[in-house]
Amino acid sequence: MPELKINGREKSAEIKAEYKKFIGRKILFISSTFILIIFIAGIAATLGPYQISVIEVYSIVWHGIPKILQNLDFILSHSFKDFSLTYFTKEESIIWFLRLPPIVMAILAGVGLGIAGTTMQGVVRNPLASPYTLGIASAAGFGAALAIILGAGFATGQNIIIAANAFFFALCSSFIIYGISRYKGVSPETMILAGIALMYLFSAMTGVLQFFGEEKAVVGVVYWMFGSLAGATWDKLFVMFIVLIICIPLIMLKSWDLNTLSTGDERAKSLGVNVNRTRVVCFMLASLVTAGVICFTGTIGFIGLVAPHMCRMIIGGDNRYLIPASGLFGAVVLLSASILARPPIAPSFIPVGLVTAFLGVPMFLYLILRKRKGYW
Amino acid sequence: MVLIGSTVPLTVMPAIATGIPGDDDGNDNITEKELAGNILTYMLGEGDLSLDELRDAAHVYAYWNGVPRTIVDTAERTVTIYKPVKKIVVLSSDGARALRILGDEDKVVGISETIKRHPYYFPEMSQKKSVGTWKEVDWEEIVSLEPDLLITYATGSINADLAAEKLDPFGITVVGLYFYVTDEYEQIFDELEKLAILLEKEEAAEKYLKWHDEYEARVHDFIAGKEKPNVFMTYTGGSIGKIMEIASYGPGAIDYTLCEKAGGRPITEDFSTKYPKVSAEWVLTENPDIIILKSGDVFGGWDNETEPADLIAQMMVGKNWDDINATENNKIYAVPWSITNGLEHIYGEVLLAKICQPELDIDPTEVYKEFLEDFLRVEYPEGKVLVYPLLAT
Repeated sequence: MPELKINGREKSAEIKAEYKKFIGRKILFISSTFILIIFIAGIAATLGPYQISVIEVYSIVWHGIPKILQNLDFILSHSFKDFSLTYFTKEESIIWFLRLPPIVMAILAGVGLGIAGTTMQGVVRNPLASPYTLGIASAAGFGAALAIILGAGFATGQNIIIAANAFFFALCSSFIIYGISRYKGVSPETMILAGIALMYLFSAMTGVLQFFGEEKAVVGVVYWMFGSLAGATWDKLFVMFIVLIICIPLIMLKSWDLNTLSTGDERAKSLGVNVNRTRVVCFMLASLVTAGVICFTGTIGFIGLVAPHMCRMIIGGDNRYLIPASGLFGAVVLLSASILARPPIAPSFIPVGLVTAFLGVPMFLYLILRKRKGYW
Repeated sequence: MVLIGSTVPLTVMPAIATGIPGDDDGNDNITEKELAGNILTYMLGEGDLSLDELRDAAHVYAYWNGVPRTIVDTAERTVTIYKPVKKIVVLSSDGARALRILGDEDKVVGISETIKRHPYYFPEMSQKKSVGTWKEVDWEEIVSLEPDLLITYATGSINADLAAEKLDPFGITVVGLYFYVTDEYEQIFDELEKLAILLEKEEAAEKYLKWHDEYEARVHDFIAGKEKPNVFMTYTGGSIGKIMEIASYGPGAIDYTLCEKAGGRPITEDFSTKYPKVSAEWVLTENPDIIILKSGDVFGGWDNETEPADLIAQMMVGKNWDDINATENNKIYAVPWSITNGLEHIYGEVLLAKICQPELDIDPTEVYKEFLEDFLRVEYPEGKVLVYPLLAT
């Protein structure tokens, strides 16, 4: 009997040690991904016609922050443009206004889409869930098409109107799914089917606009849907950041509940989780994040589908780690794609949304083939 | 960190000056006193202004009454020029043509790929540095060229708002002008006049507008009271291989307006949409006297007659249009896309008028030749097919 107890304790200690090791591996993955982002961002910031070294880039950023903070009064009373014209050298302006915004947008968009994808897959317990399959990207595309082709929208100003429309319709789609789910019961099947139905509806509505639209405007819509970081500016990044900084911590708070959902609704209920509320809250938060990102970038939906899968294959399905890992990994993929989107023969560019797929699919297939058993 | 800290010192130095050079009180008005003061300071070897800036200041004082030049562009942005424009980056071929009409092509330092692809029409400009395409540009490349002015479309991927957001911090002025007609022909004239104000080329703009107006008046006077033939207008991508959903132009579309101005009656006049889609059967029942097929992938005409003839043949496949008036009278014409929307649209108007009213005593080819030789200042490309089949003069 005492021998059994000793064995039991040993076993328990072994399991704990194994668990700690496993957790350590997850933390290591997250930390290395974070470092990788800083490294790739550094490389991305050196690319351009002006020869500015990595050290100079970091130096400009390092000195730029206090310069901005010291002159906040001037920025508020004048504008960021006047501040730049008065206090920045040309190299500093290039880094701060031309190179950093697309890099920061790649990071924020990658983080947002990765996290939104993981959350949606967790909510509907389906590996195919993404902003595309749940109709959110199609709805955003319709909003953008409405603005580009008809010039109609929920704001004024050429670029704001497109983003505002995309954001509004992306959220509309989420609210419709929410409404249907409330009416029919918040089951994963209802949400997926409603999402797919909306995807087709909004795609058809976009098609109608394109069918009757002027050719140049139609081309504009197609280009918007490729997804691009070309329109990155600090004011857009500020809005995107606010959306992410509000939603991501709330999603993280729900990560344990999402873990319990993966064991099945009944078991989750028995563990005291309000399944319906968790599902709705997480879905709406993920939708808000997706809308906040793709309204500025166009539909780079692929990251939301693939980043969670890739991370799940590497670190497993514990959402407490999977959510931040997918976000950071999404940023790595999008940042890398933004570098590859700039071929050596400048000034030609490839929209980053297309490069993302070319970069991500081989990695994804490799992981699928390498993994011997199901990971979901 | 020490290395990073030591690389760029925390000095506060203005990168680019804005406003009129020498306007010491910053009230956007350079006075004689300010100019004289700056000249004296310069002669004493003091002051911040360079000789170039002093020249600019003197120019603004002498020719602009001491105040900056301001317009409202097509993106509804107020655009102000504080000193004479010396370097320009132009992102559209339409804008490049406007610059040639105004005679300011020598100031161009940067272009887009579209302009590079047409060395015949832009002999000097096409040799300049390309900064990107109509979809995406390298902002840094633009900054490196240090232009005073960037000309781009008012809307689209590289619209004026976005360009201004990117280039404002570098003191580069952005103007959003299409130079192709989107809604009304007045817009293109207005845009040319506005650019002329910014570039001090009002006379050149006036010359072009006078030339245009004279031809327009002649067409207008000639078609007055004449019977209007029924015209169906379509384009290659919207009609080849289709027996339904064939693209056309309804009231409000610029091609529709041009057809009316040229003395034709578009058969789509009862439609309420600008870009209606119709069936081959519907066209058959409307029995148009003339069909105009616009081709989108040609710039300045075809090199031979085979290509447009093939396009017409391809369009006709499967449509059963053999018995309509246009086919029986051999009045199906292929024309390049740009004739209706660009700065040469008066050629398009004369051409359509000549097709609709063959007795019109203007040779459309001569109009196009004048446009190329007098305004774009390139030789008329002999052998180019600008309309197929050729019109009797």
